[in-house]
Amino acid sequence: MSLKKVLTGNHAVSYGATSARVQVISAYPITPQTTIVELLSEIVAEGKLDAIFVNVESEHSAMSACIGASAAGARAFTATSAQGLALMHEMLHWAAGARLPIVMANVNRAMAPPWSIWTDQNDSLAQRDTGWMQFYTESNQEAYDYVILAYKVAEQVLLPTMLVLDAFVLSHTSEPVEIYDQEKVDEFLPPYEPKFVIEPGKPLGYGALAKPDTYMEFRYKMQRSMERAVKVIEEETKKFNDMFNRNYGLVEPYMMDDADYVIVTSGAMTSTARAAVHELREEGNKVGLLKMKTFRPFPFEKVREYLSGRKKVAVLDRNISFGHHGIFYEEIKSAMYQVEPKVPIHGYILGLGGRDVTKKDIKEIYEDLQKREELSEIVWKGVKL
Amino acid sequence: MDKGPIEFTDKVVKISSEKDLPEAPISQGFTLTNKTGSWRNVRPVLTEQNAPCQNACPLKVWVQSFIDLLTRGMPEKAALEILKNNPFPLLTRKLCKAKCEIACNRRKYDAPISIRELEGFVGNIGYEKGIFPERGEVLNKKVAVLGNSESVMSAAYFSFLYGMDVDLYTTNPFEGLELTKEEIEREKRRLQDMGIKIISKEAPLDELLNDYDAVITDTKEVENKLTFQTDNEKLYVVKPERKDFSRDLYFGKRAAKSVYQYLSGEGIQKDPPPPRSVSFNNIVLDYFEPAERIDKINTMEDAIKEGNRCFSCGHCNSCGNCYVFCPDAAISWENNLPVINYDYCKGCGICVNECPRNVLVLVPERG
Repeated sequence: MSLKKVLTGNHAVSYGATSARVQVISAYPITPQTTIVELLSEIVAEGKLDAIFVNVESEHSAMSACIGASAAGARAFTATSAQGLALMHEMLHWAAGARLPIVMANVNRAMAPPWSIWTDQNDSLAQRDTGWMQFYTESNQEAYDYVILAYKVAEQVLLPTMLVLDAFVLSHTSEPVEIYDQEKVDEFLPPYEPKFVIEPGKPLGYGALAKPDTYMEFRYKMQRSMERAVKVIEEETKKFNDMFNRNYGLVEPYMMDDADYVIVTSGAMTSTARAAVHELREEGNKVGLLKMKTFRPFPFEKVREYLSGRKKVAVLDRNISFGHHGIFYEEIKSAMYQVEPKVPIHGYILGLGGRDVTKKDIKEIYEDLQKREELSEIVWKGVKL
Repeated sequence: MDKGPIEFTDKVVKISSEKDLPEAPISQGFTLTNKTGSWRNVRPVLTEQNAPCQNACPLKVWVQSFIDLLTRGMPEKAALEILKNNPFPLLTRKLCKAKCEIACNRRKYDAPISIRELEGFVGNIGYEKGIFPERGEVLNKKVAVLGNSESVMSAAYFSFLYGMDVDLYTTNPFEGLELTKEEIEREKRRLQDMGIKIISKEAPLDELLNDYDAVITDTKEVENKLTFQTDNEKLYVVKPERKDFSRDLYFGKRAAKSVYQYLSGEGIQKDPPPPRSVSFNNIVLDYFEPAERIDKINTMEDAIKEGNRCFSCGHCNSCGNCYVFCPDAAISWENNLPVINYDYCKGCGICVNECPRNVLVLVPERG
């Protein structure tokens, strides 16, 4: 029998890692991530999870320990946030380049300075090009589920995976979360069978020098694996949905069938947007919502499928690439470039540093979208000018 | 996909497409194919160099080598090494001026090694075990050695080692030295045990020159201080100066060598000057620590303790630093010595820097 527990997003992640039977956990505390590994350390100490918990002196070392553990064939897990993730940056490349299916929970937190502990996506999106898959979760249930799903996908395509949840909005807010029977999770996620293992007596050079005649081929393989991951995610999500009665996908549409206007969101603000869209629909507006669940690999086909033929699209970004635009906006716009007829896409920056995104904000964006003509202009929603 | 343990091979792995590569960047073979030795412009070379003690010794005793053998637990081999160059280590223990200890590099660090004591102590092991150095090829030449001085005793000893048959005419061996009767008897017995015929009477030089292929004596005045050959090419004259006991023994050694060079037809040659010795500045002091000198050596424990103080200047004593520090694992260890694999040695010079005793040196690559 599965069990419903009232859990914070962070504890949902801890339960996810427990259900996934991770074998090595190495992490360094940082607000708002700390309670993930805090609970995990208790679970390990109580003997409820057969894992080694490695205390380290920094996030760089936490990722390094996970890399070593994963190379030795263990299912490795870590969690971090913002500055901690930034400190890991070098080792993120290493984990991906070495093709190690490590899973990490990143609690979205704004980068300092000015100092902030509240949510925004710049920390995780700054790691866009490291070769990690990225899933943006909307609820505590998703946070739990996607730890399990992440391992299932990562271990097939040999790429590390980051699941992302919003600081406080999810991390420290309690919701009912369904924890599955271990047997059922085991059926979905069998033990990790590494394809390459470092072990004594079996010499193997890991990540040694690749000269110019082979380096590019390894990069080609990584990109091919990312491309393949799109299919693997779709297949595994389908299996997961059937098994655990969920409705996940690469992207998730809401009231999209006949929508002229589409609002694109990611992360926890999607729930607010969903409520707003629902109300707008009741008022007779032909508006839909598209949630970006998977950011890497980028779901080109799904984005084109759902956004083609719409009158206008608003992309909401809780992040900014300074000197350019919102990052989801940029990427969606570029994915839609070859689609005819052209769909006008507008980008809105909002909610940075944990500023609340309200239903009212979403409705105002919808109003603005209808009248807005000029493309490529950054629209700052809620900034005090 | 897992191909199991990779064989150590220098076979080149051909990569013609991405399909030949595994998903993860793991080794497909070994870097042995990449002979990094071609990058080198200087090469480390294992040398055997002279130590100051050795150069200072009139008899050129290979001090570093016998101390090394001793500390490795081979006292008999150590004794043999001494006896190759020093005919009477028990007498030098008592009478030698020990110029070796004046020259010893360790003097500049804390105190010189008790070489004279060590040499006597180890030499005594040779006496107790009846050890003699291996004799050179037998020449079938008869040499008469006439006289009582330490120089002619030494000449008899070395003439025999050079492969000549020796008759020693002596009435009062080691005459004029402060030695006990027992000490003199011991040395006499040893010369006999070695194979030298001792005839305890005087003989006229003319007769000896007729009866023998060569004669070494101290009964005349020295004419030639370099080779000790006289105008009569069969006659060699040595005489102790009584300034330095070992130097007086060297005279006999040198005369025996001249006789050998004459009788074997090689032709008499002067001794070349010894090569430059390793200086104190060449010693890497980081690998040593001060230790008290043991002035009198009475036990094997003392001997080894004192032997361990030796810098072993210019002589590899298998400390293993080069092996440990080589960043390219280009040094292997064979028969207790480093062997440098020049296929992979990049000539970084770390082994040379870390060799405490200047055994490894860097030389430019030619061409």
